[in-house]
Amino acid sequence: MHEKPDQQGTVQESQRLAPLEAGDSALPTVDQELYDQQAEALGRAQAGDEDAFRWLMETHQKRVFRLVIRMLGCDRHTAADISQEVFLRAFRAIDSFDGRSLFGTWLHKITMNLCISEFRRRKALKRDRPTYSLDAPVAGQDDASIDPVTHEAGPEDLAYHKDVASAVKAAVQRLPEEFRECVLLRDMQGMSYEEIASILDLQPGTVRSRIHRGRLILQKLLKEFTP
Amino acid sequence: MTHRDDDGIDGGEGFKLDERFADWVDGRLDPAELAQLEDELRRDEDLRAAADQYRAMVGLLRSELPSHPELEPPADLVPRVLDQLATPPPRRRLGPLLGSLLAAAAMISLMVILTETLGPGRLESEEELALNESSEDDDRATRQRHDKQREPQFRAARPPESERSDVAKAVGGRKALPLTDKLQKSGQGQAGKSVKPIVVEKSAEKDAVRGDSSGALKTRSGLGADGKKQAENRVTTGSDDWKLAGGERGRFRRTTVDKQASKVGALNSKQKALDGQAAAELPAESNRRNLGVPASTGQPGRSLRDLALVYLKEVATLEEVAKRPVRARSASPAARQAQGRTEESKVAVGTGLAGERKADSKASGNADKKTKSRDSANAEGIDRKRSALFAQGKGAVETMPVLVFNLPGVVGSLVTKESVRGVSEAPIFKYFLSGKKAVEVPDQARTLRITEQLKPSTQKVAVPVESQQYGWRAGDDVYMVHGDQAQLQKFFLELRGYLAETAAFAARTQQLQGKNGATGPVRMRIQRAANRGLSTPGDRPEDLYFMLVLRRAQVVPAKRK
Repeated sequence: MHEKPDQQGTVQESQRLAPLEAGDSALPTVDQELYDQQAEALGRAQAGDEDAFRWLMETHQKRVFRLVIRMLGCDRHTAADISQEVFLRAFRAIDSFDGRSLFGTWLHKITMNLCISEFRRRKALKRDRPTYSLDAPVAGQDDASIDPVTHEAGPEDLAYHKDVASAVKAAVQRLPEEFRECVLLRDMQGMSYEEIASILDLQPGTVRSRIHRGRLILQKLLKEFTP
Repeated sequence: MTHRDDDGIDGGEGFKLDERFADWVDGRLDPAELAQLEDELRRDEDLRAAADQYRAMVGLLRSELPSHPELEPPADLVPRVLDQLATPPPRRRLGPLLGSLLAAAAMISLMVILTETLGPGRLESEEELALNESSEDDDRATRQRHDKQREPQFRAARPPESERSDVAKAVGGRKALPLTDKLQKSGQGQAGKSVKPIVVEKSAEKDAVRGDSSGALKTRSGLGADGKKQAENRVTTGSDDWKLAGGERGRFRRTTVDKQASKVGALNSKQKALDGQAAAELPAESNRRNLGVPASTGQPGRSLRDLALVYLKEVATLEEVAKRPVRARSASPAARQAQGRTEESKVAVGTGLAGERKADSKASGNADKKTKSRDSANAEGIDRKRSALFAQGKGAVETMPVLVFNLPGVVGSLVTKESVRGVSEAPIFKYFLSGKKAVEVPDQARTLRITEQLKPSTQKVAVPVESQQYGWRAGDDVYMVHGDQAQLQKFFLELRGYLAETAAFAARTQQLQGKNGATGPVRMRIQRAANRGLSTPGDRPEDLYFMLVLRRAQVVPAKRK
């Protein structure tokens, strides 16, 4: 059975992700009220209610945006543009959503498709070696990607934190695409194997294998940050 | 369970973890499987350690992946989408499409009219066909078909064997246009011969075609009513040269081809010149090895590192540079020149840092000792002053903005410091400098032994002074250049052009303003800050960083007493 979403972008990650302590296989329970609320909003959105669609967007925007930025390793402007396109496509095709999967899953599928398109576009751009504008935002150098130096934490803590964050981000970017999407959908978005399989049109066993392989690569890349 | 991807990422040979551990971490094992796995873990300490590390890494992922502040969507995302939805989709404007269609229709009409006007003989002439030597079989079939059609009108006659062979030779084996018996009998065979060069005889054909065009017309005009009418029509509707020629068109085509060929040739020669120049500037492979720089992975002699070594003789990280002792500035011009040469030789022999110092001392020993001691003392005095400024917190390092060229695209021009767009502060260096007091890292920005002079075009203005010890100062432009090898390679090439222009401008300014003019040549130094890779969010493994220091100060040679 699929997990059901809550208001903060479906289920909270801490709940959705299986506990890391081995042996606990219980999946988190879901607030039925929120699930019903979302179903109702979906129905209204399909009937053309813009407010309902706004509510759905606000519910899911964080997860979509996060997935885009982690999948592509892009800057915030690009991620925002792609997220915008995700919601536009979702709105235009919302009548075709048949409810066989969760709305969040469907949205993830659109997101992944757009990310793959963006990958291809980038490959083509790289092949043609275009000249970019100086104004073009640069991945990782964007405004919000720079942590402001705060007075609370010492330079060493900040440096370490920054190192870890950078290393994780870079390691994820180094993952092969097919592993990256599975790992992100599982360990960042907290989706079940079955949901991931549905989004990526894969068998659950393949998803499991890719998640595991991706994690093994990450384990090696992040060795210095794990005990 | 190992995996090696295209980037050479290795899942690790030592891992014994199979996919059950993914289920274990994700809590997907049923009790029986879980018990079995726990039992295995109890028995195998290594497996236990690997499994614990695996679990810790997944925990790290789950804590770090969603937590970064950059992952918060912008506040205006939803309003933007709603605005887009509220905006009606743009109507397809038919204007441009209609215009294109009309233009295409006009072109087609024009072609049809021209074809009709000039007649089939014009376009399907033997000369025309002969010129299209690369045409395919269908062209040959067309030609044969029309030859057959023409046969009743132009009774085919074979030209003399020698002539045929010449023509065939000229057109690469193709047969020339058959001449008629009438043409030969009427004593106008000469005119017929004049047609021959049209086929493609090279230089001689031009005069032959032009000079004999009228004769050729007469020849054709005597071929009967239809042929006469046709010929008259040709004469009236086009010029002689145009009609007969095949040659004329042929010349035009050839000219075009020749132009293209010459363009290609020019480009090739230019590229060859560039390649030769780049190759000439490159240090020998042995030098690269001695310097510890890996050989290029791309085309030999064209990688960034190869190119950068033209400028860069400092192969050290910023941290290494910071650890080095401050050395006194070199002495007299003679000594400086000697040192400049020594630097070259140092790089050539690749003796490394220790070798550099040794070679420096040797060069200094060869210089004028009196001048050396005087200038050294002078230089050391300046250093002491500067160090005192650092100690007081007044050093330029604290306030020096370190700018980053985000190189994707910076291949066209070098943005000046005043230009804000496209230039951003480097967080790492900002942090580094703000995280420590300047007094603690007085030499942080100091780049010892920066390289040789810029390039031949600026060597005249870039006198080899002060280059043995260099720190950036207030007023300098300091840049971090960030990009991959291909981008930096382009960038350096552009930079050279930029500096050449700047140096030329500075030279002109100096001529106008005298030696004490306010503006001086831009002196560039490149310090290899690091090849850190993955040090900034978004860095790619192939990313490189270089530090550029541009000094807009006039070079003032040391005064002799």
